[in-house]
Amino acid sequence: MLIKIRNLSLVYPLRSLDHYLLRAKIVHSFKNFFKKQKTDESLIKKKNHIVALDGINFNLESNDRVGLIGLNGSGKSTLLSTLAGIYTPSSGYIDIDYKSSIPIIQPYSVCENDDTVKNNIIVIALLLGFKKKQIMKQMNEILEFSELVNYQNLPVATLSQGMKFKMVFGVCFVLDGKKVYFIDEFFTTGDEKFQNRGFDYINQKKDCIIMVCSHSRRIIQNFCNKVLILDKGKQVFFGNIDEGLDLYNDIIKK
Amino acid sequence: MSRNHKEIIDTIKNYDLWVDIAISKLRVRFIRTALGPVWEIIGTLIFLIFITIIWSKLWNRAFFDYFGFLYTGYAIWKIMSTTITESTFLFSELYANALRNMRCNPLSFCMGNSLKNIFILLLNLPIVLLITIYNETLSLNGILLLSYYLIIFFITSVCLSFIIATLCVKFRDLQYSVVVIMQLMFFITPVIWDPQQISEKGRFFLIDMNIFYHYVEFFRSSLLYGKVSLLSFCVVTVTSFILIILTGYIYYRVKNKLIFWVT
Repeated sequence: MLIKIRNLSLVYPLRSLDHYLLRAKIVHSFKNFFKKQKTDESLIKKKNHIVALDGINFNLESNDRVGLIGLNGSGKSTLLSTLAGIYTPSSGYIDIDYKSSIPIIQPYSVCENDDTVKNNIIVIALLLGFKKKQIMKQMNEILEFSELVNYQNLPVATLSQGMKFKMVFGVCFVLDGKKVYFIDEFFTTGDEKFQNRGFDYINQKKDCIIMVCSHSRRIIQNFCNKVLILDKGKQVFFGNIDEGLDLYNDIIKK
Repeated sequence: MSRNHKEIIDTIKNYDLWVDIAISKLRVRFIRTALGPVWEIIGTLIFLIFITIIWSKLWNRAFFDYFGFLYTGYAIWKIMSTTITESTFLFSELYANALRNMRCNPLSFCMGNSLKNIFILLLNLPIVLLITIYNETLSLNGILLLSYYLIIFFITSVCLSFIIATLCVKFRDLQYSVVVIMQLMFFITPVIWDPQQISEKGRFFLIDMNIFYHYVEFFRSSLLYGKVSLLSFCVVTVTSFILIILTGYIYYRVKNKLIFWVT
């Protein structure tokens, strides 16, 4: 399996600002109407878009474990969402089989707190693109891996944040059929013991590509074999871990 | 087949997802209640019995005659109104997290939400059936018309949900205007009053030109009288076809932009 990304760019439209601008313009015109000395309307600057990703190029092969790092606002989550097919790129080319990929970006944000753990597992898995027949077949496996067998008929509201993490982890990784995993920073929620167990579990998966976005050097060093560094939406580095982390240190010091 | 058509057909075929969304929302709605979905019947029943006691006297109509008229009209109006009102925040609030974090077709949520509302409508059917049995108006013709209506109503709900949800996620002011319009339409549309009470001149604008009326009338007449006027039948059918075309067009235009309006 191979993923090819060529000249990927994403221009993010800031549509919602228009309404604030319209409101600001009305207020400004109203205030100006009563003023003798008029102020310049161009002070209310209009920004239509931001370039969230610019010229991203890389190839991924089977068994690649890529750490995605960068400062806050560098475009890590946006890149993951774009690769996962949530955002459509403004230009460039992504060669990926979406049916075999899975975006793991805050999956527990869709949890129904009043519904049971078991029902939530079904809904989350369906939303992630799994089939109901398969979910039901592997339900016990998910519950056992997540250590939630005794909680399966309790509302999700009774779970701690860490237990929710385990539930979501179980849904995403225990169910078979996916080959490409795009994992956002949510991994930091679980305790270290479960994180290590989780990464051991993921590492056993053969012929998979995993891209994980994290600020944790421990996760990047222990788990990844490649690193992709982003800075202000641009690709700064793609290659081996040690060289990448040295470069990232320089970026932090700047 | 174009990519857009394929996406829509794949979403329809993925019924596991949207049926589960509907069932899950319905389950959560009544999850901590002892009577569960029965509340849906009890609430409507108590409200409409009291209204009927007063208004049947006010308009000099037999209790069961007016109760049947009111119950059928109110049951379908409630679902129409809920579907439209919920659509205003379907993408901006209700399913915003799923759209932001999962690769889901927004139509799945429209289908799920519309189906949930049809399930709620079906909860009212036992009472409606009792009324028709009491009035001796239950017929095979009526059941066939009702089955056709439920399919058309589901299609209309899905399309309308998508259009309203898309417009409201881009133009947030619409969320509030739609709610006000629906409140107004409740009084304009003959849900609680009989169309016979209005003059010929007013009938054209308030009844014949009112699409909501035809949707209410189709449901009501098929159950109470076992027949539907040709005008209502045509309006409901043609409207659903127009909405399908409009939804397809809007889907094609906005599908890549929608996520930016949600976030």
